[in-house]
Amino acid sequence: MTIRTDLPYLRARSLRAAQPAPPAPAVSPSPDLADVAGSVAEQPSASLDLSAPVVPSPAQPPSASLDLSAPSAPAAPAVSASLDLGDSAPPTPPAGTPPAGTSLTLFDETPATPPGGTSLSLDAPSQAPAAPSRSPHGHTRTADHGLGLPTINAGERRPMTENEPVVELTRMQSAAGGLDAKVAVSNPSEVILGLVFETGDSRESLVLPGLSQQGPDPRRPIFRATTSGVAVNLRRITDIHRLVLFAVPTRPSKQLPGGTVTVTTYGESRLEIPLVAGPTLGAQALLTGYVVEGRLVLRAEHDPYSGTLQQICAAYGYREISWRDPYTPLV
Amino acid sequence: MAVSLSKGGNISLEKAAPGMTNAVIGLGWDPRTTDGAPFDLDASVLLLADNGRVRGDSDFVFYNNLTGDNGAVQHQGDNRTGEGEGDDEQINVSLAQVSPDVQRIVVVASIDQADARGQNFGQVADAYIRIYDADDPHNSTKGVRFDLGEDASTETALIFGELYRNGGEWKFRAIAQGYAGGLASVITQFGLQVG
Repeated sequence: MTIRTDLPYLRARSLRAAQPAPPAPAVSPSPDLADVAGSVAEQPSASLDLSAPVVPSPAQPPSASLDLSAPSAPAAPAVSASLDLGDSAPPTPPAGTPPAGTSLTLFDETPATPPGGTSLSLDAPSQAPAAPSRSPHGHTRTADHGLGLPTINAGERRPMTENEPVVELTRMQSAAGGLDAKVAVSNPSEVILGLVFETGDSRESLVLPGLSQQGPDPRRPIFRATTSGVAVNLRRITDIHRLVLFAVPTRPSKQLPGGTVTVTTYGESRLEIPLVAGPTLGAQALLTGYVVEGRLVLRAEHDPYSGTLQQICAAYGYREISWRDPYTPLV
Repeated sequence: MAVSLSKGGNISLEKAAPGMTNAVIGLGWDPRTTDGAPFDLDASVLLLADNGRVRGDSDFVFYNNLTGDNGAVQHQGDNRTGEGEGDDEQINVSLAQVSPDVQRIVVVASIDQADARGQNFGQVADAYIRIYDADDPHNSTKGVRFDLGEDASTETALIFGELYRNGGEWKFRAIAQGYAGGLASVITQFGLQVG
C-alpha cells in the first residue's frame, strides 16, 4: 500500500464515538435551524458538518450536513436540514415539541426586544400567551392573550418616538371615559385634527371640524370634534374597529406648524406625538388605533409622506368613503 | 315564589334554588321617561379572592370583557336603553366552575357618563337584582330577588349584591352600597386601575 504524503490533514482526522442508531427514525424534512448541531451523523441529512471529519459508519448513511458547532451528542432523532450558528449543543426541546420545527433560532439567548415593539424577531415574544392548561377543578383555562406590547400607567406621560411608537391600553383604559386628542402649537388655528374611523359593523366615516362634527351616528356619537381636537367615547369601544388621527393644516400654503399632539386617557395618561413642521399635500397621518380583543393599540405613525386627505385615507385602508374632491369627504 | 331579600339580607343559594349549578344574575331598571339625556346603565361583576381584591384585570367582567374566570362567568352583553321586558342585563355564573380561589362575586351597576349628564340612581325606578337557575328559568318558586326600592339617591354606581362562598356552598347577600364617583370609584377599591 502506498502512503500518500500530499494529504497531511488526514492525520488529524478522528473517529467519532459510535452512536446507536435510533430505533425508528422519523424522516421529515425540517427547516429547524436549532436541531442540527451535532445531530447529523446518525441520520440521513442534507446538512453540512464542518467540524472534525468523521468516517461514516457503515450503519449510518453518508451525511452532507452543515454543522458549524462543536460535535456533541445528538438530541433530535429526526432528519433535519436546519442550521445552528450557536456555539453549544442545541437545547433539548420541551416535552411535546415536535422534533421537526420551523424555528429560525440563530442564538441561544433570547434577544432583547426594545420596548417600542419594533423587533423583527420571528420568535414568540417572551410574554407569549401560555398554552391552555387544565385548572384543578377540571375546566380548561383559556390562554392569556396579552399582546405583549408596551403599556402605560395612570398619570404617566409617554412621548411616542420612532423607536417606541406603540402603546397598548388595558381593557379598562380602553373602555373608560374618553380618548382626547388635542393639538399643542403656538398658534392652534394653524392646524386642525380629524379622525377617520371604521366601526365594528364596517362603517367608515370621518370626523373633521367644520365639516362633520361627530359620527357615526349623530344621536349617539362615538367620535366627535372638540374645540381643540377630537375625542373618542371609549364607552363604545366595542363598536370601534380602527381609527386614524390626522392633522390638516389651515394655512393656504398647507404648511404644518411644529408642535405636539397629545392624546389623554381617562386616567390622565398622556401620549405625545410630535407634529413636524413642514409643507404637506393637505393632510398628515399621525396616529393609528386598532381594537384588539378589547384593547386599544395605538401607534404613532411618523409617516414621512403626506397627501391629500383622500390619499391619506386610502393609504391607511379607508376606501369606503366618497369624496367631493381630494380634500373634502362626502359625509 | 322566589325569595325576596331586603338590604343586608343573605340566603343560601342551595335553599333558594335547590340543585342550581348554573346561575343567572339578572338586573333590571326602568329609565327616566322625562326629557334629557338617555340613561345607560351597565352591569358588571368583580371576582374577588380571599383578600378582597381581584387577582388581575381579567377578574373584572364588564362590557369590554365579557368572560371571566375561564368562562365560568359570562356577561351576556350590554343593553343600552333599559327598554323592554325582563332583565336588562344578565350575567351567567357556572357555580361549580368558579375557581376555588374566587371567594366573592360582587355585582355592580353603574350609570355611564352620569356626571356629564347629571344622572344618578335616584332617577332610576324599579331597579332590582335576581338570581335564578339557568337550567330552570321559568320556575318561579326558585331563586332570590332584591329590589333596590328608594335606597339610592345621588349615587352613580352601586354594589347591588354579591355571591360568596360560605363553607361549601354559595350564598347571596343584598348590599345596595352606593358610590358617588361612578364605576371607577367602585373598582379601584378592589384593586383595579382605571387608567
